[in-house]
Amino acid sequence: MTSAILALPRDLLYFPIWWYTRGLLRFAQSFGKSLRFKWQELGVGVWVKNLFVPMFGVRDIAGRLISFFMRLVNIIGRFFYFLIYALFFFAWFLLKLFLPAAFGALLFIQIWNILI
Amino acid sequence: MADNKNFTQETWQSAPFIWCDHCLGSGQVGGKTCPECQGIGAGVYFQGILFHWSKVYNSLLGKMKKFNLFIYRLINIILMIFAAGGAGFLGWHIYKVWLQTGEFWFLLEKTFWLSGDWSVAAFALGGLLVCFFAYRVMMYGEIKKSLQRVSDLISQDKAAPAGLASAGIAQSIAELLRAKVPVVDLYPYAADGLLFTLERSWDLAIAGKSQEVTPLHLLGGLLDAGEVRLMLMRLGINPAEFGNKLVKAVMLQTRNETPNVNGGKLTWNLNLRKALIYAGLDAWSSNFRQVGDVNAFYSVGSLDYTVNQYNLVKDILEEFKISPNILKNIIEWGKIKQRLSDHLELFQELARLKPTGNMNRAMTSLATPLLNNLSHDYTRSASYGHFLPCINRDKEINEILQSIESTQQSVLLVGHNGIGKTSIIEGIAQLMVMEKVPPQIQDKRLLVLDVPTLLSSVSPQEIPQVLQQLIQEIGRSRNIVLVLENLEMLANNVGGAFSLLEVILQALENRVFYCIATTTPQAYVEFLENSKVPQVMTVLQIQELDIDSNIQIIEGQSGYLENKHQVFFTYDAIAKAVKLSDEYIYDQYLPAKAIKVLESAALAVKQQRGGSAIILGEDVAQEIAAKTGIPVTQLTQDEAEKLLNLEKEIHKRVVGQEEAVEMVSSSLRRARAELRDTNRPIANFLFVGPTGVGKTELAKAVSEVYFGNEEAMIRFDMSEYQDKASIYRLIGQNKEGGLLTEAVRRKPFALLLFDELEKAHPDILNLFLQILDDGRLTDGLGRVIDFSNAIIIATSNAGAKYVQAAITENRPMEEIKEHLLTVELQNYYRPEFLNRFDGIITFKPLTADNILAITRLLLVKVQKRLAAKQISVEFSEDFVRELAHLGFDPLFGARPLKRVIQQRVDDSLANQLLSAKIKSRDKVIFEAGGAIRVEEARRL
Repeated sequence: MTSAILALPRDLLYFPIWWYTRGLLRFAQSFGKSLRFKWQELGVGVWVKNLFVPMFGVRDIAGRLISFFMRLVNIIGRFFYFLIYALFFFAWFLLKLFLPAAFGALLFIQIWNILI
Repeated sequence: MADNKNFTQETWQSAPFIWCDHCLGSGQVGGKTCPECQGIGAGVYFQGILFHWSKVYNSLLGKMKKFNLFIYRLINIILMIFAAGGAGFLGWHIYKVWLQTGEFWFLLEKTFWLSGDWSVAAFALGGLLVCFFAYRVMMYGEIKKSLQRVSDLISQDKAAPAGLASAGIAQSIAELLRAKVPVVDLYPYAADGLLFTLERSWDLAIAGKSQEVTPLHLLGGLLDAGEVRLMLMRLGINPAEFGNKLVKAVMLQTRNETPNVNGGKLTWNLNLRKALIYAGLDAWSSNFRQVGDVNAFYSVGSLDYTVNQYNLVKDILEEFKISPNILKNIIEWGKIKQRLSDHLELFQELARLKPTGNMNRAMTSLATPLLNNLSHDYTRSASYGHFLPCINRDKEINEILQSIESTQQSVLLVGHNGIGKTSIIEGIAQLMVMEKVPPQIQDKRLLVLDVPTLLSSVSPQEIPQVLQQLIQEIGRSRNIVLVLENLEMLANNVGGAFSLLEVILQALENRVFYCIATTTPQAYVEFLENSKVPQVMTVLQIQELDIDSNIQIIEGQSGYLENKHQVFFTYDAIAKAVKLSDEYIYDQYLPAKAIKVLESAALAVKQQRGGSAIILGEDVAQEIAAKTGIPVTQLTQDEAEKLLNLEKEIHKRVVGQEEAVEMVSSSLRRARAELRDTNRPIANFLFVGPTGVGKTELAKAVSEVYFGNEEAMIRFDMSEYQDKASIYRLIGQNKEGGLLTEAVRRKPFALLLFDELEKAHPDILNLFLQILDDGRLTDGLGRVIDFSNAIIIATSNAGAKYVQAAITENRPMEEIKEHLLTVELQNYYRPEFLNRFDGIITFKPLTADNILAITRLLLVKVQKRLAAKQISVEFSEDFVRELAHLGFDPLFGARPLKRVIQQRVDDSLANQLLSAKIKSRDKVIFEAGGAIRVEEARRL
């Protein structure tokens, strides 16, 4: 670690560059990881894979039909649930992304309005 | 937990250290960068990469680093204070506006946020500072790069890059640079802890007025590292004592330094750089993210760093008995803990995805109510963290999973109880939780069927039906992998026309479900080998692991054991538990027997020394000595003195026969000092000679003196084993143990006396060939009985007639011995049998003086017997000589003497006692001619 004091002005200048380059990449990776984990947790892929496999081993025609529709409803519901989560994660991703810019802009506007 | 690299620690340790001849490894020539090596100086060429360490980390750098860290943290605090201040300002402003307006809707108005207010500006600044703070935290994490990135540089094509003189063998750094091999500087991967250690090493060199910082100083710096201190405590070493030795070593090293090297300026010795580079390689091969104190300690302790002809690091470690093997195992302990901690994080994350109920994620399975009542859900237990990690069994687990994947068959694990079969199954359960298993068993539950409960909960007639129901449940459910422990239990039970085993095998053959079963080798041979099991299941042998692997397994479990018993195990305790139980406990297997010993030692020590006790190696040795009767504890002063004076003690009971007494005593001393071949009995002796001269008496004396009790001897009169069938009385048959094998099995450390060996059947003598040479014998149950802690004494009257005749003819003793060994004994025993004895000792006939001495010894026994009745007995010298004269017969030894004493002394005393002529506290005096005088005690 080079001198922490000398690094401060460098960091102040580099911070917005980092935030919108490597930082962006990092936030995107985190966003992707959260999405993947949620997808796995909800098991949407597992349900899609087993769409035509009867639930609870009930293999008669009625059972298969009920199973199919149950699975379809579940897939739609889980997918919808996943979408909400994805939107939430995305919102959080956007917030992280634009927060410095938003604060920066707000600060600039305030100072501009105060001084002018 | 295995490393995922394709090389071993031994390989990196053998990678050569190379340095630039131009700059002698310093990287600098005349204050400028060396043109030959471009400043690299020295390095290790390994796996196609040149590793080096760029920076000489001195205490100035260390202090700067600490200062920077302080400033970094201070700045962060200031940022957060300003951010909080900004939020506070805004909050105050909002409060003021609310007071004026009485509502909060203004917060949604643009004018509030864009009006140009200092408090909003402060808030915005605060927000920016929070983002800046987050950036600093994320950047600081990124600076500490992961060592595992280096793996990306390994070329898949291991052929030497163009330009190198020969494949993979570097001649010089310049050559490697010309060949454009990847170069990795290990310094950026140093953990903060290691950098602080290097700073301390530098300070130590300054304090010691050294001119170079060497691996010895690094060892000194490591002494203050928490992990290293813990390792030293685990080794039972006092860090302060270690530090004192180290200081002395530093002074010695400084005295031997070449004066004015480096112009009087303190710098790093080349060996220190070497130590750090190898530490880096150790960290990389162990999948660590950074190079830490643990890696440096291992590197410093395990390689050769001779400085000015001294390797003082090695000397200190040897003085504290830290051998390279012990160091490797204690370091591995630290690494295991690190890996367990990393693994736990990942495991807990993945365990969240695994359902813990009866249903699989795809909801394709059926409820299994009957099975749930008769089984234990291992995947659920694993999810909840109930299992300890399975260590050093990755190879077996991979074999099992590969077998399931490739052959689609169930698996039978064959191994002794206590070897770790259950641990392997728990490891598979954990992998199933993480879904790191073949697709055939993904999204499934691992259920262990409780066979004893199944067999005992229903009547025998109902068992097959219940089993069929269970199989149907499993088949319909389709999400179960069944575990059947002790599969032979099903083979023993017959249900109707088929055994239960056949019912299960039929289901496995039809691929109704996957099964992992276990059994022992004996049970496999007896019940399963000739059934359909080998056709339907893949049979895998599970072997006992080596000593070091078992030590590491227990190190991995040490946290659990320490917590359970509220004690602290030293490394020596664990190592001794493994080694001594391996050597002295034969009917159980590692690691289970070592864990049992550790737990009993913990309980015993806790009772003696209270909670939070430290379990030492000696505590474990005491536990094993108590269990087996074998003295494995360290020699006490008393015991050492007893051993050194063994001859004197034995001669208190045995007269003459110095050669025999000396040979037996020497063998016991060698055994206790651990200087003998442990694959044979402690000692084997054949005592030959005339009758009544002390052969059996010597064996009894050894038993009394060394084992504490004449009865501690295990005696066999070989005249009772004259027919061939009697061999089975000794070793057993039809699933029963024999007299000899059971006796030694129960008491492995004992004296075995075989009297009148020449009378035994020749087939029995063949047994002895194995015992005397290998120290092993297999009994009727197929168990191998270990005789390596026994002393074997055989007595024989073979050639007695010749000896008697030769004595009568006054032939010299040497001639008698020679003839006895080369001619007479050959008539009774085969040469290869006689050859296996450590000593064939010819007992000398007793002389008149011997008989006199024996007479006195026997009369002392009479005195002791009467002393118990509070009657004292004296014998006049004339009477003693009279008895000796009457009892002496050169042909029959001391046996007539016993009869004489019985007649002349015991009988007389009995008559006197019975006729009340002798009472308590009286004194009886025997005089010449057998006259008895009684001095009555004063009666009140």
